[in-house]
Amino acid sequence: MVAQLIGLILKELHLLWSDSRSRITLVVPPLLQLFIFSYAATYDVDHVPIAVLNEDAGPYGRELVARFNGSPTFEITALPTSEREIKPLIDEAGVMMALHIGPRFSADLRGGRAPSVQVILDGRRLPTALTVQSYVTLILAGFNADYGAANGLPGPAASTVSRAWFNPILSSHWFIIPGLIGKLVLIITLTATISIARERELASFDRMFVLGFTPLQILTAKSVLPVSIGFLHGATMSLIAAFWFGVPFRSGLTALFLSLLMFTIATTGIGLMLSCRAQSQRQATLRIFMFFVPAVMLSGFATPITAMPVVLQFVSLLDPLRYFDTVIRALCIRGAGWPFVGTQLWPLGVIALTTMTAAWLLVRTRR
Amino acid sequence: MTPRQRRMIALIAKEARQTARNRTALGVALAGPIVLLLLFAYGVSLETERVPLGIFVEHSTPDTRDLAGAFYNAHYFHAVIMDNRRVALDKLATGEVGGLIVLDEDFARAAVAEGNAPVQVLVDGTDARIARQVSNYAEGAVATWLAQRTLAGRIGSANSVGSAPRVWFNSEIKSRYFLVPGIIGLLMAVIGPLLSALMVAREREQGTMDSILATPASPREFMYAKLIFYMSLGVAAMTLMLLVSVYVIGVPFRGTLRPLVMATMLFVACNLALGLLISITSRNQLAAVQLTLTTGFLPAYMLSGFLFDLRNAPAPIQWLSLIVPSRYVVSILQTTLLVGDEWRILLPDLGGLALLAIALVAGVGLLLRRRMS
Repeated sequence: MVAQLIGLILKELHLLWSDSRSRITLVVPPLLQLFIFSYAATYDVDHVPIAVLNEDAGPYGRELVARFNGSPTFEITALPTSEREIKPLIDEAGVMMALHIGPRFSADLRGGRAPSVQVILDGRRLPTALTVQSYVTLILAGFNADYGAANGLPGPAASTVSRAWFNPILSSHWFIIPGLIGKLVLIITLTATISIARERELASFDRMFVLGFTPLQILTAKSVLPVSIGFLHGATMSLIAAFWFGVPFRSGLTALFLSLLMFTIATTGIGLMLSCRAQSQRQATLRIFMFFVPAVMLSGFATPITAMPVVLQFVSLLDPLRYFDTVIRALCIRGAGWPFVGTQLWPLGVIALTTMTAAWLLVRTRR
Repeated sequence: MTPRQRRMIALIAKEARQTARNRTALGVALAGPIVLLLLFAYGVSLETERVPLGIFVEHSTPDTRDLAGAFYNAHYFHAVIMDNRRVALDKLATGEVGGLIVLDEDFARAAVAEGNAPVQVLVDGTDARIARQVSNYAEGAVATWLAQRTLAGRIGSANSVGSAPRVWFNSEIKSRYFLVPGIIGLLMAVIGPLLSALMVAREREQGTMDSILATPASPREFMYAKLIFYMSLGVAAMTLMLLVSVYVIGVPFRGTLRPLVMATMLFVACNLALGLLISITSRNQLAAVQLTLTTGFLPAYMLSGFLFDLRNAPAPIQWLSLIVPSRYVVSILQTTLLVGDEWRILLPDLGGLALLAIALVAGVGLLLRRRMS
C-alpha cells in the first residue's frame, strides 16, 4: 500500500526531474523574477521632475522654490516663463508636476490673505500623482510652520503628529516582496497540478485503476509534487526576502512555513479540482488561467480589499492568495502572533479540504 | 481571384467554422476578457476608501465631538469611536483598523485654552502606500476642520499658504481611468499566448494534419491562414475591450483611431508571436504554461507601468522593461485615451513596439525554418 504510493510519487518526480530543460524552467525563472520584480516594484518616489513658474518678485516665492529645490523628492527640470508653456511640458510627460506661484504671493502672505499656489499634476500615472501631491502638502506645511514661527503668529488651534507603526520609514518593499512571494508560489503550484490532466489525455488513468491504485492514492501522489515544489520555492524566497532585501520577518519562520504549507495545499487542491476532469492539458491550462487572473487581482495586493464593492469582498473570501498575503504580511511586518495566524489559516484549511474532496469525488466518478 | 487566394479564403473559413463549433477560442478571445475587464474596472480601485479608522477619545468635550464628526463625514474613512486606549491600540496592532486618531487629555485641555492641541495620527505601516494615504487624509480632515472653525470665527486667523492641486487628464481622480489601459495590456498578454497555443494544438490533437496535407494547400498557406485568422481574433478581442472601456466603463477617448489601430495590430502580433515561440520551444505543457505566465502575465503585471511607475525603478530594470510589449501599449493607451494624440510620446512607443514585433516574428520564422529542415 505505502510502497505502491511511494512508487507512484517517485514516478511523478522522475517525469519532472529527468528532463534537464523542465528542471531549469522549474527552478530558475521564479527566483529570477523575485529579484527583478522586487527591484521594479516600488511606490517610493524620488527626483520627480517638476516645472516651476515663479511670478512672485518677493522673498517668499523664492523661499518656497528653494524648499522644493532642496527636497530629494523633487528635481526642478524646467523653468517655464508663462502659464502657456506649462501645458506642453505636462502633455509630453516631460515633468510630473508644475508649481505655479502667482505674482501676488508674497504680498498676500504679508497681508494675511492666505495665498494659494497652483499645483498641476500629470494624472496619467495616478498613483505617482497622488504620492507627489502628498509631498507638496508636506513642504507647504513646513513652510507655513516656519513662517508662522518667524513672524510670531499664534500656532494653529490643533496640530497633527503622524506616526506609522511597524514601518516608520514607510518602505514599500516590506509590503510588496511578501506579496510577490505569494503570487509566484501560486503560479508554481498551480502549473504543477496540470500534470493530472495528462493522465486523462494519455488515458493512463484507466491503466492506473487497472493496476489497483485507488483515487486517493493517485490524488496523494499528484499532490506531493506541487505542494513540495511550491513550499520549497516559497521557503527559499522568504529567506531571500529576509537576508537580501531586509524584510524583517518579525514572527520568526515557524508560523511562516506553516502558513506556506497550508497555502500550497489549498492551491494544489484548487489546481487538482480544476484539472482532473479537463479533456486535455490545454483545457486545464485555460481553467487555471481563468482562476489565476482574478485570484491575483482580488487578493488585495495591488488594490485594497476594503475599496472593493461588497460583492467582490465576499468573492475574495474564496481566494487562497488573500489569506496568504494577509498572513505573510502580518508575520513579516507586524510580528503577529499565533491567534492571528489561526484566523487566516482555518479558511485555507477549509479551502484545502473542500477542493481536495471535490477532486477526489471527480476522479472517483471518472472510474 | 487566383486559386491561391481562393484556397486561403477557404482555409480561413475552415478556421472560423472550427472555432465557432468548438467555442474554446471564442471564450478565450471574447467572453473571458470582457468579463475580467468589467470585473476589474468596477471591482478594484487604488483609492483607499472606507478604511476602518479608530478614534480614541479619552475625555469627551464639544471639541473632540466636533473633530470626530469631521472624520465621520469623510467618505474615505469608516470611523469608529473608542474610549479604551488599550483596546484601541490593540485593534491597530491586529490590523482591524488601518489608522487610529488619538485625542487624549492634552487635546481636550489645550484645544480650548492655549491652541496647538496635539492630534496624534497613528497608521498601520504594513502597506506603505495605504499608510501614507491614510495619514494624508487624516491630516487633511484636521486641516479642513480647522479652516471651518476659523471661518466660523471660533479661533484665531490662520495665515498660511494653501495649494490648489489640479490633476490633469483625470480631474476627478478616478483610478478606473488609470487602471483600464493597464488591464487591457495585461489581459492581452494572457490571451495572445493562449490563442497561439490553441492555434498550434488543434490539428495535432484532432489528427487532422494529414488530411490538410493531402489538399492542394501548402503547409505555408496553411500557417498563413491560421495566422491571419487568429490575428483577427486577437484584434477583435482588443477592439472589443476598447469599445467596452469607452462606451460602458466611460473612460474618455481624447485621441484618434490611427495610433490606436497601429498599436493594437502590433501588440497582437507581438503576443501571438511570443505564444508561438513558447509553443515551439517548450517540450512539455508544464514548461509552456510556466513560460506563458512568466513571460506573458507577470511582466505585464509588474513591468508595464500598470501598477508601478517604472521611472522610480533602478536603471537596469528600466532597460529590461524595454522588451516587455505591454509597457509600450499601456503608455500608448494612457496617452491616446486620456491625453490625445501626443506624437512625441506615441512615436517612440509605437517604434519600440514595432521593433519588438519584428524581432519576435523573425524569431518564429527562424525557428520554424530550422524545425522544417
